[in-house]
Amino acid sequence: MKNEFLTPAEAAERIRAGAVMTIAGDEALMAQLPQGKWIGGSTVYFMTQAGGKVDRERLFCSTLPEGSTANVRHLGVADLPGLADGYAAGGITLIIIPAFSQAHARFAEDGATYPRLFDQPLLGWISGVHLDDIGSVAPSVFDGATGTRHHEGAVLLHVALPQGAQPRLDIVNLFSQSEDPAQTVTFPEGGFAVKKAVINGAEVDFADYVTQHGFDTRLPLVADYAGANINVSFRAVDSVAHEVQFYAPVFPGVEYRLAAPQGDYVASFAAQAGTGGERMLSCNCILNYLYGELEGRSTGGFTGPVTFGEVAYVLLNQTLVKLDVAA
Amino acid sequence: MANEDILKRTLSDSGDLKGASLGTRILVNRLRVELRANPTTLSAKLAELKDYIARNPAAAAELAQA
Repeated sequence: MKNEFLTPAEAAERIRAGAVMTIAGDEALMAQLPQGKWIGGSTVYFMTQAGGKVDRERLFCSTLPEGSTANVRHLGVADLPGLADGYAAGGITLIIIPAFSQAHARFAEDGATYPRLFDQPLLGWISGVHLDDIGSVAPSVFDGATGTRHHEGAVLLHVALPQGAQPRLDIVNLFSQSEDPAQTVTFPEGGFAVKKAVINGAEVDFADYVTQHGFDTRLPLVADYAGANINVSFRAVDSVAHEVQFYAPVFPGVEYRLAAPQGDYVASFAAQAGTGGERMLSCNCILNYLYGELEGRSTGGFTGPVTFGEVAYVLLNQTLVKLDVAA
Repeated sequence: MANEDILKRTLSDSGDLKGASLGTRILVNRLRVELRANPTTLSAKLAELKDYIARNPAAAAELAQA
């Protein structure tokens, strides 16, 4: 895996040479690229070797191992449940979905039930825009095979890896559940927004509860998925509408706890993420970028787009997703 | 094929699947939540887990070790 910041001209040359690539950057730059075996998504935030930065001049390009072949697809919302139909045997699939789209919501709520979804590493991210442009500019994704920009649906890069390649998909989540069982939260109804929660056996107005108990909403709710910590991040607490909004859906029947407070993000990341990020495909969350104050600060070799949501089989929040393809 | 008792225990437990891949953990978590919500679906959830293992043989070893 090769991760590079390239100019549009350099990226175009790589595409014309037949490389299989995922590309992140300003949508105006991606619109200049030729057709080929690539998918792209909009963002202007990146983690680089030198640290987090905003960049509108270059494209972050990840080139899959030489010998990889790929099939590019754009799926509309109704076709998302069939995304695994395109899986190449023994391969991996990359997915990019525009933030705030119907596809974003449908994949987040239903993706884990799609047939054969877990049969190979599925990773990707939710495309975004500069935070100042939210509401005025729609996040986009690009189907490189046709050179088409989309604001809805998902683009998929189904990759057949070279013989012997061993892909390994994992996450780095610096957050863990609070050890206080009194902070266990369940929700009678799921979704990106809730009004009610059950805490200590009692149903509560969750917006009021969060406010009255002084929740630090920069910390996510964390669920334990058979030993994997999966976050749901707070988006807004509306005390007037009595509603709490999230960046990913909560699910009924899942127990959540507020994350335990953590120290400095960069120091914690260095302790947990380890080394070897240079050869991995990775993306990190805009909330980690903001709350961890990553602009100008490095997370070592783990470079890539900073995103409005991460995908490792399912939608994640405040999590780094990493794929290692060992030869 | 994994031992059926192990698979039933995997679904009825709530513990960690130590050593299991991320995909296996997320899938099993979904099956566990759905089973808790409706215990009469045990056969269907077991069948879904068996199908997954049949297509992903490494998962059987992961669950046996968990």
